[in-house]
Amino acid sequence: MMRRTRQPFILVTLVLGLLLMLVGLTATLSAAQDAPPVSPAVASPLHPVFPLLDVDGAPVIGSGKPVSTLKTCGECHDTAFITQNATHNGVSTFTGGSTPGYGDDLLAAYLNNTKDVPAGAVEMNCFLCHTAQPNNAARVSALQAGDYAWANTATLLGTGIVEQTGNGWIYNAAAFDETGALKRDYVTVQDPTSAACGQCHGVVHTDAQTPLTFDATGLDIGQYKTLTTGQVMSPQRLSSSGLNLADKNALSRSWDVHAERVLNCTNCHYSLNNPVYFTESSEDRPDHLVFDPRRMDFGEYLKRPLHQFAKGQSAVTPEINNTMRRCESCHSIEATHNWLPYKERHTEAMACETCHIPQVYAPALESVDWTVPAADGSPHTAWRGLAADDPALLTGYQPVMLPRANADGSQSLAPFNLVTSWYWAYGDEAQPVPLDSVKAAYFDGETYAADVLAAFDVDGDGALSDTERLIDTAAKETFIAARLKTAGFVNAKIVGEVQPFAINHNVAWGDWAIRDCRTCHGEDSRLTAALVLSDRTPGGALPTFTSLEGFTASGLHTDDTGALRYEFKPAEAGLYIFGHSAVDWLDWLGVLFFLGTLAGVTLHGGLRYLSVRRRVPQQAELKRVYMYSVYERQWHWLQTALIFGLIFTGLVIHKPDKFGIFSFDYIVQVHNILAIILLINAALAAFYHLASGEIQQFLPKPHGFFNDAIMQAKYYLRGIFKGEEHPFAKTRQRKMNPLQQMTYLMILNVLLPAQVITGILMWGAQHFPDVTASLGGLPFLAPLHTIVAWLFASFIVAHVYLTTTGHTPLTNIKAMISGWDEVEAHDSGLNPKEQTS
Amino acid sequence: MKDFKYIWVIGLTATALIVVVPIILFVSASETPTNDPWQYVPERLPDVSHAALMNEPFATGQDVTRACLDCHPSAAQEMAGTAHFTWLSDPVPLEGKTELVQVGKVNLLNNFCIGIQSNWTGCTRCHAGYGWSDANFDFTDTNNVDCLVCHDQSGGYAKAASGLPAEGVDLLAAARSVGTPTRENCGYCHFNGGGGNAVKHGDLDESLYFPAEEQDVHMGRYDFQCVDCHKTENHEISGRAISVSVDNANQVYCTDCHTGTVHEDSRLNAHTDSVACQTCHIPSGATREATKMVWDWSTAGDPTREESPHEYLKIKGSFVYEDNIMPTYAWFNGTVDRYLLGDPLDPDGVTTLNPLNGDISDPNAKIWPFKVHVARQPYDTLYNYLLQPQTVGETGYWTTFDWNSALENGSRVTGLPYSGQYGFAETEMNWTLSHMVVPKENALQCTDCHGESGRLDWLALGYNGDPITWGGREEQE
Repeated sequence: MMRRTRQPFILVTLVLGLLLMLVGLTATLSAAQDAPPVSPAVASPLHPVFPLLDVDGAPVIGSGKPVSTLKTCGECHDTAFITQNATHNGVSTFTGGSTPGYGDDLLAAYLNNTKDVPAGAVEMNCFLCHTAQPNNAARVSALQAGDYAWANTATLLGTGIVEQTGNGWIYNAAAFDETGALKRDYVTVQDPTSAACGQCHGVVHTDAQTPLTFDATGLDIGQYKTLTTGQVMSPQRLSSSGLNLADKNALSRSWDVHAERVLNCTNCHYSLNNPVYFTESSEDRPDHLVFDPRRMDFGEYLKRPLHQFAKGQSAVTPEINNTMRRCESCHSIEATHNWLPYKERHTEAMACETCHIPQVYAPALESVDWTVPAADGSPHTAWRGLAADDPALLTGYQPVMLPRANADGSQSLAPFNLVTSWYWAYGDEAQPVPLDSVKAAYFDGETYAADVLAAFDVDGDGALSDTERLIDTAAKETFIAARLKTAGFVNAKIVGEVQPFAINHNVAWGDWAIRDCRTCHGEDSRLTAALVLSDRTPGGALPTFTSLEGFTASGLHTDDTGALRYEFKPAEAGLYIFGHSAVDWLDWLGVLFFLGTLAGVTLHGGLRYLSVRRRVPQQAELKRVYMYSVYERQWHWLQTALIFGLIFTGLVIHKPDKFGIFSFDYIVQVHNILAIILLINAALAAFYHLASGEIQQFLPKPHGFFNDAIMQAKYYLRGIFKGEEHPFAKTRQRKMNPLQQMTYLMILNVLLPAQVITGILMWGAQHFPDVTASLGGLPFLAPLHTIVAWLFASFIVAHVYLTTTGHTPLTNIKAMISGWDEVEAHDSGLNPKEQTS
Repeated sequence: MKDFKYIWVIGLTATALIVVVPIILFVSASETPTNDPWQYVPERLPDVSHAALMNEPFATGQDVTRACLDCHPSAAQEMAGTAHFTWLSDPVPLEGKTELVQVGKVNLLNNFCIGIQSNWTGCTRCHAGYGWSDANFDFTDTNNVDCLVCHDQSGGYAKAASGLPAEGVDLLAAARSVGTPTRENCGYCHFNGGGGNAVKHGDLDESLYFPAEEQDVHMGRYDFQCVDCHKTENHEISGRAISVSVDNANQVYCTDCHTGTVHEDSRLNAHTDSVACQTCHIPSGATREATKMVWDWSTAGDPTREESPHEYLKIKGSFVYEDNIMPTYAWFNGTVDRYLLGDPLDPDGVTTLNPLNGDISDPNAKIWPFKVHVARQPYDTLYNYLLQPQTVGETGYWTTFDWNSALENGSRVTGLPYSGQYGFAETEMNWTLSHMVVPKENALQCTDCHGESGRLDWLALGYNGDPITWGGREEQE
């Protein structure tokens, strides 16, 4: 059980570990080199001046001690309350890795070169988010050096308040007034900006005019969201950025439409009791109240602001999951998506992000292979979103779609990145082998051990290149496992995990969202496009897919190049995608039936033709009979047109790739309209037949029906070739022979209702989804609808052919046009009653 | 039952109607039609070759004009009535003036070369006429109209002092080449306003002869000529510049072609009542060539100072040129007030020669982008008004470097008394940025004006704060 809950964190952990040493190094360097700019930030227009206090509550300018944030800010704000109600109190000890909730224990195991900051050693760091120019690098550097007491104060380095000298930290007297309070110009306290969030969460660039640049594959964990998904928060147009993006000039969309529309991180991720955003839940409100004016006032909020921030769903701090407003809380789908057929169905089956984040443009981690560490302990990494032939060119990537469990219990497809990682595990519990020990298994001091080189150094140059750092044979795995065993790690084996990372930012507005139906409704539906997870599978074992709530993926497989791929299988999520999700064997069955019918009538017709040639033509006596009333003919031909239309449009919907010139959404609408007309036409015809009594035409006479049917069948099989007369004469009163009656009974009672009901239910996925779902849902109904359509098509072939069996091939068709039939004027087969009528 | 031969026609028609009509009625069209601006762009007629019509060698420009008038008898008469020839407006009302006034280059002061009076021979190089060298120019002589400067397509036509053809110009070749005016014709004067390329406007310079599409979407991407927008009838060219005009009659607007609902995005459309198209679609001025932002006449005449065309000239003083200028944004209802000769000024303040009309409470005003040109220019320290110096000619400042005599000479022409005591006062002029419209992909974005680092000073514009949170102008009262 413990193992299960830790699963999702392992990969994050591994990922986090990737650049930790770099972070430490660069932090130290930059802290040392950056000359502190003196108070370049604009002073806060609102926040009062205040003294910086030490832990004893004495002004630091006097005591020279480190600043206590809790004491300093606690003069006015309830810092005890804030600390207790904060999801971000851990930032004070965040050194680029050990984020609480991300599995510090594993990090500690893996990252032997980073210091574990003891719990409680550092107060919650208010300055990091609430001052204009926090010095995160100096803060991390202090933590790395074990200088916990000064870590928060170090955040102020560069503001002119404090300076670091060889002997320690010295406050700048010029920044303080005679009472020990900071001078006005040095008070830069502010609401957290997006840039403040970006210090730890990902690349944030709020200036639309200055081109955004960053080392896309050199990200550290401080750009966590960007590292794992490629998300970049900036209002800037991609075309204006400084990145080497493919087809850049055409990319006039912004990185993120919300950033573009002047939203900050905190506009969505607000403090949960911020009176500007907070709305009481409607469940608590008495029915007679629409709005409860008794609100928390700002003074109270500022004293005790919750430092839990509205969020969606994630493994971190699940207790405040789904406190954030969702897309539809702000956006009206009703007002904007009228062009989209089956709007409700689409929005039920798919998250907004699915269409509105069609592409992530910055690279993201693809895979991390820790099994053969480099000399600095770093893993082999691969990135998604780089051009295959030129890694310096950023192409971005299309997220993979996975079913996401929503707050309301529903499930919808949403975009994800998948990051695969491999590491050594040991024992029955498959515990990760600490990185130090893995490294020890490979290294002899600072260089790879001689027999490791012998096993891995393919080109024999005495060093392991990036491509040589790969366990691609069982022999290599056994070899290292043996070395690990020597070190005490029994049953060491390579374990792989695939971790989904949700993508919710970098939303594009309508013009850049997916609008073409056939992006998904087609053979190459991007919903099922294979995502390459890795070009390697160390140890040969398929990694396990870290499950999403309510969904277990099974689409992992290696292709013939050895690359690991994932394909989403819609059926596993209970989805049937029109134009894509055909059930192949059912289609083949339908085709077979259709072709069989075609072949049958061709053979029959051919034989008839030959037999007629061999026969002396006989001129039977004919008489003209008014066979079909105007309404019957109109009803028939209208139905003909509709059925042809429905079969054709249905075929386009079923196989849109074969009919590229047609607009998918137009054809879908036409199909529905035709179906409605057909239904009305059928209902009117049913009424006509019932009211006029013509319904009798369709009702077989129970007495002797089978004999009659056999007689008719024998006629088609034998008599017709000999020029025999029809066994049953067609009359105004009895237009149909027993086989026809049987066929129409089937069609009217089985096929037509089946098609109508499945059709209505499929349409109902939009309007009454529960009913549709309870009757099998689209994955059941749609294939049924398809096979019945094939049967209808086959019927039409037979039907049309059989019209040619009149006294001339066109007689019957002409009769259905003019109403006047020419029937043989003989009396065989007529029953006595009809003869006399 | 009768056998009606054509019953199938009726049946087929009925069937077709029953099927097709509901489809047409109920299936929604996927694309909504937009207003196509191209319908307003005039069709360009091919030029009629005049090569065979012009045979005589021409001695003077007027000879060419006479030849033109043989076939286009009303053309010169039309031209002679337009501001391109008269350099003077129709009578217009002006705030603070009891009578209608006629304004134009003829009688106005600006803060570049200051004014044409007493300087005609230099300034009228850009006059669409011949021989305007003093106050006595005959505007009624239609032979003085210069057809070639606008219609020459040989590329070899040039004008010299008093607007006469430059020495060595092949008038016959020019006359044979005539056609519809191109950017080269208009640009010959308008790209060089203020005495050189890109000096004056900030949105018109010689880069527009061969504009890139990112620079100007109309001229760059679609190869517009000036007259495609500045539609012209009977030689009356539409368009107004607030440096010389105070009204907005006959103005050219973006919405002449971009009609109806211009943006797909309703949030953007909500801006169009308060924000001029230019504001977002011309993010910066002088994107290719630096334009003059500051001209300090008071430093002129220093023989010791090193000359550099974009920094200091002895005859003109010192300059500041800037490129990619961030426009100045202000409310503007399309009309301006105007400093006229003799109007008083505050020598310690800044005198705006063409103050913008409109503010946040003016429903016709919108926020517009401007190039604001600042200068220090001579004024009469006793009478407190700006003076017109003579700069051109033997007795002009550019020859004598004597302000006193230059101002005396100029004042003699303008009739405005000069006390003999002069100083230099700070003035500014507003220049609308209306050309160099960038492709929409490069227009300003929300964050350029709104939010933490917006470029607009909302308080100065009369808002209580950023309208993204405070609401639009209607909600500011």
